Amino acid sequence: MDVACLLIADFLVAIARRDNPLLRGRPVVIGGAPEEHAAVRACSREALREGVTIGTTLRKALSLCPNAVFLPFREAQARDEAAAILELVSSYSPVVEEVAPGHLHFETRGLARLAKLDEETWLAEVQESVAIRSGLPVVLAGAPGVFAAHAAATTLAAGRQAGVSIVVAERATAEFLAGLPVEILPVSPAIHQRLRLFGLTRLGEVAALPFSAMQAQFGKPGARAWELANGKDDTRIIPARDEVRLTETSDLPAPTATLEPIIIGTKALLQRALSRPEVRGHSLRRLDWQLALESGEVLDRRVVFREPTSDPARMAFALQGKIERLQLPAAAVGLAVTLSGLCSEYGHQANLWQRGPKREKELAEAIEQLNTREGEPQVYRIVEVQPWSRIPERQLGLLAFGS
Amino acid sequence: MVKDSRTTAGPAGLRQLKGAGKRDEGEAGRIKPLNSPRPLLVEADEKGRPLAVVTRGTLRKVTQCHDTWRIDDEWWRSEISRRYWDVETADGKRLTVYQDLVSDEWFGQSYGVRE
Repeated sequence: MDVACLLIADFLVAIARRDNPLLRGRPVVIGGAPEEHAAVRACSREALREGVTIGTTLRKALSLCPNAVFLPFREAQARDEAAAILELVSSYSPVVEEVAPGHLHFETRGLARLAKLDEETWLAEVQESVAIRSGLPVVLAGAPGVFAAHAAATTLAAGRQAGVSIVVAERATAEFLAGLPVEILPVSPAIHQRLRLFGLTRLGEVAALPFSAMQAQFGKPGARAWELANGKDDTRIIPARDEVRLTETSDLPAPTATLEPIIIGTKALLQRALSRPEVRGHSLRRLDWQLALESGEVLDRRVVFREPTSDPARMAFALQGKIERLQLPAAAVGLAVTLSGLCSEYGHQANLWQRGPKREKELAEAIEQLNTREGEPQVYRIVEVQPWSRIPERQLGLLAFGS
Repeated sequence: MVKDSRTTAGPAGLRQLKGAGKRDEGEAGRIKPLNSPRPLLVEADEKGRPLAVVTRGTLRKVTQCHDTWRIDDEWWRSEISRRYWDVETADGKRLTVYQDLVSDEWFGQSYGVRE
């Protein structure tokens, strides 16, 4: 066993069901309330059976599955849960790749021997440890290659065998893979369908074909599919790079339901975070903001900057609109700001229009010259025509600049 | 059935944009329309649901209809009646198309979500 795959099926749904056991067995849709103009981020198998898929609008999800429980997408909670699992697995293995939240691949070569255990016992120990610490249905599979480990974990999860670990031995890999359906191959759905049309339903049937036939029929993906079906897997685990995250937290002096002290506190936290030596000479791409409420609930908002910045005023401005739209269900007691996505210093495009009267005059003259040369207006500004209109082309128009 | 709207004078909403600013005839005359509907070739089923869209000269199959809504307005003068479809094509692109229910022509037009 060289590689293991840890999988928590329907990660977001599993977290919701752990936090509220009454949701077990009921269709769950995660993304927000059905009246919100948003898409489904995750859904349970019960909802999938009713036709709900990830990406459908919440309104449509409600019409497809009226008895579903609609829950908000708690991105920060999911991120924290995934990070905790990653950290825990990293304490067992030096090379861990996070494929998706709740889905990890990690190297296991020699680790069982190091712990003086056999492979099955060691893997069961890891599985138990993650399951107990996270409270989630963890499936763990070990195999000589990434594909075989992933296929084993997916098969266990699909069979709802949560809380299980399995080791696919090297000599048994070909036999194990042969019985799996072709849909397990990491190729496009169109190729899955074509394989089915050719009467190839199992990996064993694909493996029995000549390599050249698969390559001729499906090209590069076909060659890859044939290699995987035959247990020839050279996929490498790419460990996640350590990301610099700067977090500043603060308790509000007194519980508050007004937004002004929250905005002031946020600005102070941003100033504090940006004055830290790690940020000096760098810009940042992402800002996560959290507000702790007296009720124990945590509200969070994320801002991803179009241009990386290290300007606290710009960060505060981007966040302020989101804060002002908040409706606090309880008094706020604490604040946290996390800056991430560190990159090198970024040059900013200067604003063409706000450069004082002299610049404006020069600009007007240049536009006039351009218009005269071309014989018709060349520079326009967007103006509101009928912003209240439901007809899209009526809302905005272009007006020649300077007219 | 593939409907071609590319040879028509354009949708009613656009034709009326020039008369939109009655308060200032001079300014309205200088305003150029923005987000104008683009005539499209669309194949639809008998219920008016888009099945395929021709964009950039290529016929793309519609794989999913994410949303649909209808706009009826100005029935007292030049009636505007549209059935909008938010669709996803086989190559994963999202686009908004509408059928002009008065002229039975198809157009593409972005439709911003207002909060």
